[in-house]
Amino acid sequence: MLLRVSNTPSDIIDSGKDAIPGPAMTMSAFSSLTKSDWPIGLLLDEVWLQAHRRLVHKMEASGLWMPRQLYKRLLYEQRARGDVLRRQVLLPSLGNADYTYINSEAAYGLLNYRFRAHLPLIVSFGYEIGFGLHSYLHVNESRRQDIARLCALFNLGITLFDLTCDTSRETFEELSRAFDEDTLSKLINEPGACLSLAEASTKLRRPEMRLLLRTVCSFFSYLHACAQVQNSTDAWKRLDALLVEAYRAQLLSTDVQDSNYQATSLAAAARRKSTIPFEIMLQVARVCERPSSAPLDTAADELIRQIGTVFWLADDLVDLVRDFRTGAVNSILFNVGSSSRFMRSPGQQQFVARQLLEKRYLDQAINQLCANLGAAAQMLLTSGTQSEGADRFRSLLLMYVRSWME
Amino acid sequence: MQCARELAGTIRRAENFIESHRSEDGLWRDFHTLAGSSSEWVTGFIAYALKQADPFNEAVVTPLSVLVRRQRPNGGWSYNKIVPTDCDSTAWILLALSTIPQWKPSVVRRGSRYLHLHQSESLGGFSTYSTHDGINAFIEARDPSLVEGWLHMHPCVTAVAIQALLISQESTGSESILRALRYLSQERKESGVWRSYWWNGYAYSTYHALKALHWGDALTAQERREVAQHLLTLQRPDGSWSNRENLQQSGIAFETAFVILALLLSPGPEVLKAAEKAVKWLIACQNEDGSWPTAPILRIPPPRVKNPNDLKKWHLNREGTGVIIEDGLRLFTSAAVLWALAVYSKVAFDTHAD
Repeated sequence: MLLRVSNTPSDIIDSGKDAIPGPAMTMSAFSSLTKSDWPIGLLLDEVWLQAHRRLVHKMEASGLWMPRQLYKRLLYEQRARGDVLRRQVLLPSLGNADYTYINSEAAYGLLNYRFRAHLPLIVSFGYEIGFGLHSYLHVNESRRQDIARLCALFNLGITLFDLTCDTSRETFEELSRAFDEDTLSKLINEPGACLSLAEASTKLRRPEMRLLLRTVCSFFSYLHACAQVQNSTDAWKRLDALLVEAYRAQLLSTDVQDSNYQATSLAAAARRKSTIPFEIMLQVARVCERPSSAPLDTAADELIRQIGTVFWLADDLVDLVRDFRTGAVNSILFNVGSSSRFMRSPGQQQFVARQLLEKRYLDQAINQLCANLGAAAQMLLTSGTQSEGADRFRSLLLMYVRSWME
Repeated sequence: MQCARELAGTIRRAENFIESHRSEDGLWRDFHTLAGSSSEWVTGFIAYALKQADPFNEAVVTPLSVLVRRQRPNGGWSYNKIVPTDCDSTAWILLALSTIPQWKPSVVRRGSRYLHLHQSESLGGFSTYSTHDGINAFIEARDPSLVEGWLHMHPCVTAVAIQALLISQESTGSESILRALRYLSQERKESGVWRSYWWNGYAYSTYHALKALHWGDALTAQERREVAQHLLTLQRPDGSWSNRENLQQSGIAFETAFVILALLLSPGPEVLKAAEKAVKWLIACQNEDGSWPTAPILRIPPPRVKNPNDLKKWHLNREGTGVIIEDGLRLFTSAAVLWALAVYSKVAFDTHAD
């Protein structure tokens, strides 16, 4: 979630000299644009610049852009927290050998640098979301650390899942076999299933698969140990449903999948893939704690919807050019009327790039992001159980949005 | 934990040394040759090494901004401002640029296309120069056959070019990458290491070949472990590695750094033990200013020579060709060592930090 990675080929846009209309666009839609003087590379430079500049300006105007000095201080603190969490949460989950591997230059191959660079922030981001949601809902702090650590593990798990799916088709297929929906359901509903999966994970050839499954096992073991409600309750059933939905959305939108899905299905899956993890973290906070007051509980749903929307859009804005080049699913590209994975000719690419620059697609996404971030920040100031915790949560949200862009 | 603290101090001093030795134009410079010192290639390498050591290091932003402005119309970069563009410098700079937000994506697209011009259609390897670069005119060689060695493909260049293309989002399944990976696999010596054209040793090319093949999913974990086993047999009693596959030569910081990096691609108890010994040797070797002692590491074969092993006599630290030279300012060596120490620190000390 925090880490947006992809190694899908760029040659889908570099190779095509012959115009091959994609399923989402016909030749007539872009044929008049194929003689533009502007090379596609320069159009993409402009798209990158405008997406970043307009977002920063809008956030500044809305009072949502964190000043540099404060940003640097908080980022440093979050990195330090992430390093501590990595040892405290991951080392017992993975064991010495796999923990050594996950910190090495070998893990996740080509995606290693981005993963290693972000690992501390991946765990600290999950931790802070869990911590912040719990402090929003509850005064009593006794379960806060457990919930925060569970969310740290969850955020790492979902990032590893994303990475593993995107590594290669072969890995993706191996993962689909080793960790299917049936296995997921057992993990949710049968505490003993964690042991079986952990045992099975030791036989896997790829260490990356083992890392993922061990993290998943750790999360569910910890979840069952911390749960305060029976699995027959609505809260647990809701968590179950969200986890299954997240799993399906991930498989549907993974980069190595075939592109024969409807664009609208892919766009919806991509959005859900980005937003469900936040709903899951809220649900983790609910099943591991006694119920909070009903109005606050309802408000928390709205708060997490806003936060999820912010990071979904931030992902898509920041990775717009990368997704354009790699063919990864991106809602802004879908709004233009096409998935970049269908863009095979220079004319199609140029059409989409120019639409991005000439129409209001960027502004729509930026306005939506800022509206949701502003609303979430306002909710944290005006509701919740603790003003101090809310201030901290608000600052960290602003910090992480900025960190997405740097 | 004493060792972890000592290593952290060593790393900090190395970073300070490197960061305080940038030229006024923002670039790092090292290796004095007849064509002057290298600025662009050296800066690409050092920036990448610094970011591998610390992904949050901001000292690379200015140098990389300067490099972006220096990209030539053909998409390439060069050894320095006056020398024609080449594949190796361009690959290093693309790798370095991959560590910061790609605020000008066209730079990467053009750089990638430039790299492709250096790939052998038939054999898949990458050469340092192509005929379009004009290196023969630059060194005033009228007959292109006089530079055929520099126009020939090399494993050390190919390994870095593959990494640069993959990190710039070329598909691992593309025909170009598959051909390059095949070439690189075939270039492995029987002993298990990779020879180099430009480097007076095997460590640099072996590490980068392993990494390129790993990124391209063209090397199994077992094959990586076999290379690691061979490297372990070459460790000297003091913990270092030399630039030859025997134990008679003295240890060299640059070689030791790249062997550590190669070993840590297969982390395991035996590897970590050997790496720890090497790290202690490197800590003990660090100069007071934070740098490491250099040695003649970069060789410049005569441009017509395809196989440097054919050349019997090399001159040390002289200008011209047929020479093996030091990085006189110790920046290149220090960056390599810093990179290795930081990777080791993350892999080894985190495990028992509490």
